[in-house]
Amino acid sequence: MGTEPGARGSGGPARLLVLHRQDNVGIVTDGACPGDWFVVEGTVWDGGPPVRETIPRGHKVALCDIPADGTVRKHGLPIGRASSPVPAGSWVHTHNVFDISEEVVRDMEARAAAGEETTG
Amino acid sequence: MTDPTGYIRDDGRPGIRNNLLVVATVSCVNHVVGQLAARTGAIPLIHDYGCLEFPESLAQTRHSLEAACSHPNTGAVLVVGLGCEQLDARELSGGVRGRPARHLVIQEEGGSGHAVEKGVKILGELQEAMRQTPRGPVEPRDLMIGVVCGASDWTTAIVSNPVVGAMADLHTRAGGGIAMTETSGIPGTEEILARRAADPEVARKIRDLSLHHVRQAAQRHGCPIYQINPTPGNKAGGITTMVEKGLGNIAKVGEGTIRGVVGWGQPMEGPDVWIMKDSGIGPDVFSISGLSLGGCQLVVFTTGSGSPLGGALAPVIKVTGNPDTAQSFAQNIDFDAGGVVAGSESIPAAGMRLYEQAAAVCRGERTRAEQLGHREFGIPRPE
Repeated sequence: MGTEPGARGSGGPARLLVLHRQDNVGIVTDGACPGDWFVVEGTVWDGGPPVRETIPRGHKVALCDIPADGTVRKHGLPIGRASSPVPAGSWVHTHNVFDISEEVVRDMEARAAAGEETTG
Repeated sequence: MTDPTGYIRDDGRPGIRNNLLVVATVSCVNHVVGQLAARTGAIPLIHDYGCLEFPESLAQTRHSLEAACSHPNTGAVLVVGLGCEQLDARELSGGVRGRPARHLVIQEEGGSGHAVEKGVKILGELQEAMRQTPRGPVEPRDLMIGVVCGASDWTTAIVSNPVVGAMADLHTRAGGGIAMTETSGIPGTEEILARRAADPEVARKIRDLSLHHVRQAAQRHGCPIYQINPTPGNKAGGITTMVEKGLGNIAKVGEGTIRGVVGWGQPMEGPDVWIMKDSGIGPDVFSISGLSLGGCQLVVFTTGSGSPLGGALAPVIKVTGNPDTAQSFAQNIDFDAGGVVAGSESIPAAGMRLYEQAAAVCRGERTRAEQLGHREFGIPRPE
């Protein structure tokens, strides 16, 4: 254990699960409230972001500042783009993430149409 | 896995079980098959088809029953027919290679009661014959493990599927095979999967399969797939985008090379990762049955809120990442990955522990579903 929990604020420990080392979001496995500090695999994350807002159990939190239009990465891979600047420690969900799925599906259809044209 | 605990088959890969199957050719014989299973401990393979079927549908039933009879875990077979159905019991049993097979036709025995008595006698003889099955090791390269998720919750995508993926990586690196289905959930992840394809042809099949599901969803629901995915329940659980949901689904195969894409229930042979087209919208039993019929000797099934399913052909290891479910549904859970949620175990460590448990099941340790007598089996209708 690192820092004395009391030094971090008035909250409590909030368990954080990071699925991939390239991720910029983690998962708050028991939920988190402002003032909580993050614990990763049983160890307090010294220098980790402050919890800025209430985050429900199983939801994502920004591990670093994500600029507007910045890629949100989970499982080591892009899952969407920030629709506004997301400061570290913020809840990351549909309110501040643009779903890239529509673009992905449009690209698929376009590629398929191009393929069908060339192959007749 | 080098102990000589496997069952050697001269027509293919070894089994991790030596199952005695009683197979119905048609739903009219299901009661007799049930009686025979109850009397002898044989595994019943019952279904709702085998007669009055159109050619494509009959072909799926026929292929499924043939694949079950020749499954690596199948030690001997009794095929039970009525006598006037489309699928012929004599023909099905005559086509079985590599293990003893017999048939029984109810109309030829003078009734269902007589058929049960005769069947019990035949099954006794088959049990005796199965004792001669040669034993030998099951190496990782001999073993195809199917991976499925069902009754999912907020822990499935972030805990149990990544843990199964870590196990899958250990297995494929050792030369083994991993197979997934549930392909309705891959749209949005096709480029990630295509990058792992063994060759351009496999990559093309992955993209075509994803596009098929996108178009099918639009046809069925009259709106784009990303408008119905993620569902309100997924969003409440913390899933924000369709791509994110898809990544949680494919996490269970790990990051290995994708060797092939096959249709539902079609054979998969060789190392690396295999993708089996799912049967469309259908219950989890179709996923377990399809992967088994494709040759998986073992299935690893992740569950969030708790599924009790097992399988007629292959043992099913039940994994949960939800610590509450591990307690409340303990009777049906083989592997508790809840330590990942609690921060007391890492995903790779849990994956290693799961692989060790899979090896124990291969050596004969019975899963919870086996202990409780779960023998589910289902054949979907072709799309």
